[in-house]
Amino acid sequence: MFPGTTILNYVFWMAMGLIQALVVAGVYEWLKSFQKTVTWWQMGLIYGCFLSFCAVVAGGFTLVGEFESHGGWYFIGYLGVPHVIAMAILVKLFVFKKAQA
Amino acid sequence: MSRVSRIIIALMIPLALALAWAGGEYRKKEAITQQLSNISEEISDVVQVEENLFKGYLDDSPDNIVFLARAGTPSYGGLLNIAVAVDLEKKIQYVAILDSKDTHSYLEKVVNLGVLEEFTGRPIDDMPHVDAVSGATLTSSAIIRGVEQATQHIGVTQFAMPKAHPKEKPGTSEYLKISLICLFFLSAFIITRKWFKHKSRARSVLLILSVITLGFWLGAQFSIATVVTLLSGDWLQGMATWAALLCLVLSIAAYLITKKNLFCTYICPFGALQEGLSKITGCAPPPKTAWMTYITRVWVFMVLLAALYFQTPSDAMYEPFSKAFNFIGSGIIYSLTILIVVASLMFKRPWCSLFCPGRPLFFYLQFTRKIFGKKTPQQAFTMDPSNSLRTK
Repeated sequence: MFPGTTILNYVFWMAMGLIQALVVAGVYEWLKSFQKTVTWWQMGLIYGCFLSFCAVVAGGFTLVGEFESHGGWYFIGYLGVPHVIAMAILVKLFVFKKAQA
Repeated sequence: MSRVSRIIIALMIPLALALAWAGGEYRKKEAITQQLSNISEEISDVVQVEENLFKGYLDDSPDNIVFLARAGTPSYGGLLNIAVAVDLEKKIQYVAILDSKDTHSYLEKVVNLGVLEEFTGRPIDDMPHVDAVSGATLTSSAIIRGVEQATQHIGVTQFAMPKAHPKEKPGTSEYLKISLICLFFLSAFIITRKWFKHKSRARSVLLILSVITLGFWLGAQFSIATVVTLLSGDWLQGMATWAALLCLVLSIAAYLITKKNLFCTYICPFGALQEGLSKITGCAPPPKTAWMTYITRVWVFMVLLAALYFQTPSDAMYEPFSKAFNFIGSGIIYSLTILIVVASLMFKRPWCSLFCPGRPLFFYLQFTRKIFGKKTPQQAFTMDPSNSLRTK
């Protein structure tokens, strides 16, 4: 990320971790304002899927950076789209679920 | 719009398409000898000896005679023409694809894998065994058969070689494909009957089966290229697979008989894929204005005209079907496929509603039937995509 430095990489990833924790906590609060309750494992699954999607995008652009742009775009497309669909299914199941009678 | 204007429009469309086709046929004539001369700059003075057999000279040398044979074999999109150049030592000098109606990406795949190079330099009495390319089986098999036919033509006529028996075609049995497609249409027809219960559930099952069989397995979904093949009459010269053409013919026949668009509503694999995705989010069809409808119609008409004139059905294919189900297609088609798949989570059947060439085609059929046929209350047809999806 930051070639030639000893500390910036660590600081960057610590900041990223902090932001991610804030994102998850923020989503909880945001959903609460809409009277939506999501359990920790459901949120874990959704976030895991999002994280996996990020890894796919990172992997794709790594390929692009390695002058394999064709493979990179196909990597993002063929793996990214199923991730988007999976996230939509998880959100539908866990967030927009039908109210229990 | 008056009835006379409607009749003029209904007649002008097929007339314009017929003129484009006739122009294309005229353009194609006299081009074969030129095509053969263009195989290599080293070949000159090409003259026809007999049907599909030509003679030329290598390096302008009167001693270096080369025989050129042309062979047409049925491939996915229609006839695929191959030319082979053989010298007096019975060695294959050049192999070239003269013209093909197959999708370019399939052809590129076969050519890039060196199928043509496998034959060059080899003697025609000791032909190599070249395997078909996985993922482009029909195209590669047609090329291999074409080379074999062309070399055999030269061998038999010029070198007194014995005639060999043709090999069996690879791939899934055509009878199986045709039976399955007929079964799908029959099932769709039964579901539309008044006495049939559980219409919605049966439709869902049929659509899921269609995605698996007609989509991923057989790749039998018809496209605008199939419409061009049907109109141009290329199918008369043979097809490697009749699946897509049969799907189109049955769709038209079913529409004319039942007045219902059975294919789009009950069978279309790509439509089913989009609808399945839209079920996740429960989204509505995209908003559609009149200008969007007219742009699609004009676009499809122009594409048909161009494809009929240039005699290249595969170039007309802009649908994402092959990319969605067989992972083959250009980068633009790939981007379009991704866009449509993701958009399906936001709108119900976005491709069907906005871009599909099938909709203008069925609209034209309905338009002409309204003019020339008897008027019935059932003929009410709207461009609202949700309307065509009703199962009642």
